[in-house]
Amino acid sequence: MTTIRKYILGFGLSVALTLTAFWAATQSGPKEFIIAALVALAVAQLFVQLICFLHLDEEGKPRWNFITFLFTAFVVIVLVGGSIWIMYHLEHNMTDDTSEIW
Amino acid sequence: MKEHTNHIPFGFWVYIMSDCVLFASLFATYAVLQGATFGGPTPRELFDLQFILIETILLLTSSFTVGLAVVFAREDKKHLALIALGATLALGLAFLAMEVTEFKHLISEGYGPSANAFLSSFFTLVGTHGLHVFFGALWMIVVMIHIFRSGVEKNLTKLGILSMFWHFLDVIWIFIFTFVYLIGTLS
Repeated sequence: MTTIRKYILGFGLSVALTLTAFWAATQSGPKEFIIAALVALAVAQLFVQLICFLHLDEEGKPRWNFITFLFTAFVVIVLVGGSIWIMYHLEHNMTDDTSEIW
Repeated sequence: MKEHTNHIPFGFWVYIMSDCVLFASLFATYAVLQGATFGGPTPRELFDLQFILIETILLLTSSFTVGLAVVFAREDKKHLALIALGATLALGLAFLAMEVTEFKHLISEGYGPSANAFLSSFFTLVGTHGLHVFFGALWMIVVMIHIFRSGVEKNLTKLGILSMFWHFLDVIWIFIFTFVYLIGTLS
């Protein structure tokens, strides 16, 4: 695919994913389901932009950009996930009946 | 010289990755503090989704036009590249103008960054992204001047890493509009 077609495809898909997300957020329904959908749409748009705009798939070997991206993703998941996990447990352990410390 | 310039995009990519970790820490902080409204209004009561949708489309379109600028530059089309960069800059500045308006409105209502922990983390996260857009816009003006003066070929690497930076800002915004604004307005 030519570069310009990739940009047009990426732009079109990103707009569609964005509009879908904004629509989904206004729907009534179980909150967990809507959140899951919004997260999935965000991750999908992330991949669309990584491939179509940032050309992460066009890298030849050795794939240094891709590997550094994977490592960064790992750091981000540990940092964000770990913070949420720790702080949530900390709040629970400090406010509720302490016979139930996790 | 050519070997040296081949390393520049990778070096800049590593910087972008470090910037991702910076934003991750701001997201983590926001995730932990978003409920701490100290009795004040919740995200649902403060955010205007139509406004944010317009901002989002502006920034997304600017990511597209900066890509066009790179395509034109690689085809040695100096004037088209400058037009595409001008469009990118205009869209980026429009995004910033809307964001400044949003911030000013919140602050004037008494919901500034010092009102509670939720707002501190909100202004820090979204404000840091906005600052990045601001400096990206300044950088874009400089690159446009360089291309205008000395042509596209000599400035391909500069334009390449600028466009990388600009795309990265749109990627971060995906997560801001999803986790801060959209999920924030769910009941």
